[in-house]
Amino acid sequence: MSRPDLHMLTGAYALNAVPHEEEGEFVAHLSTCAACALEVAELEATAARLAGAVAEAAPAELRGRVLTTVATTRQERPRGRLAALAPESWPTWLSSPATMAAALLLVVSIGLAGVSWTQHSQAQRSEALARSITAVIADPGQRTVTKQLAGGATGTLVTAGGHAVLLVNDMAPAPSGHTYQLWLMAPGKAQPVGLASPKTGTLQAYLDTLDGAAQVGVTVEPSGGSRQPTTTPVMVFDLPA
Amino acid sequence: MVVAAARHLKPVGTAGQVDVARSADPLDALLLRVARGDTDAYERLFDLVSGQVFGVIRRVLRDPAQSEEVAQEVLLEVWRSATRFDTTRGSATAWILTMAHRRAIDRVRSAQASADREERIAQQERDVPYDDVAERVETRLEQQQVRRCMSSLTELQRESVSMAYYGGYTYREVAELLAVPLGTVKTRLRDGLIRLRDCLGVLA
Repeated sequence: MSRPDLHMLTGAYALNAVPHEEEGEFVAHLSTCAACALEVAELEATAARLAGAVAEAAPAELRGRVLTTVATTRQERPRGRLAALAPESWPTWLSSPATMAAALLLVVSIGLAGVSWTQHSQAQRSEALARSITAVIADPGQRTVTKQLAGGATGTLVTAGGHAVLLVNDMAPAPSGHTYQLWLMAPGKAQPVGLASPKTGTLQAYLDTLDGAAQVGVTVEPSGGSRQPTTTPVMVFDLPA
Repeated sequence: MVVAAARHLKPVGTAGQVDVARSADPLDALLLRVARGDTDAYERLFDLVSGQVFGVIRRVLRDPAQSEEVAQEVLLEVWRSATRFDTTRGSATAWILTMAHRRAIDRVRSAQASADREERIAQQERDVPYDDVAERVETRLEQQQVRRCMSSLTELQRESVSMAYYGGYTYREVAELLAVPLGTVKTRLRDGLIRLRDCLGVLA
């Protein structure tokens, strides 16, 4: 099915009228189309109102049976979910690879994070990265941590499926002759992930692998980066266990 | 919680009526307590939602015994997986009723997998026509609102939406039963739901 057709399935999907064999493709599309994902959420909420219109008293014995069973039924353990961000608060550039290309500032060194970019053109890289970032953010199992940083910056780390997205707004430029460097950190160890020099005050990074790390950190390093952190991190995020 | 309340404020209705601003769904607070193992909260939640859960399942499945079985599964699943509910992704009511409808549909489809396709199409003719939804609803504010907003759809949109939602048909089956192109059905379902969304003032 071509992409325009997939957009048109939001209503059918919200009504549970998409055949099972087609659901996978549509759900995959949702992870690349924030507008579709939002529309599906709204239309599912609308469809739930249709359920309310045909409410009917449940058989009396159902109540007793369910309540008795609940008393002896275990619940799923909580997933330690932290503050989550609403989809509509994400910047709109996420759905536009062109703006993504202009905003993309992270250079990922070959081999250090298990990702190699040299085979792709800048445009392909930008598009692929935009999709990867959206996939993490739109993942129903994603976890989000937001922190206020010294100097007024806001940093957000979103993790899903072993990948992570770091977004920092209102970030001061690195001091002259210096750059920001990202690290995957574990006790006593720091693995360099890449360098970033945000010119517009916004830093966006996609971390393809988290490699058993306990934290993601950002330090200020001399231009060109360092093998190991030489300064105290300006921000640190704990990764979910 | 302020954010959650703002989500449920309804805009002025398109018919010039002022929709009453609703506070956050009381089920949201109950479900959050259920997620922490609160059985009293679950009991209150059950009383508030079991009628809607059973009603939608029975409207789709029709058979009372099967409907009761699926309703029990859903209501237990709500208890078991309450920790998965996230208020930023919608209301507790929507979460629960989406689950109920999906389970009913799954049951219909698994039964249909072995049923004769011709028989299924013949069954459609014997089925209660979609207008009957309007006849059976009780006169309560919520149901009146839905009925009013359903009448704001075109007849073709209403027909397709009802066949898909209450009839449990896939969009392909709806297209075949109505003898219209797939694209037409997709558009009717989408436009119909969007119109319903705007009339009801639904925010995700």
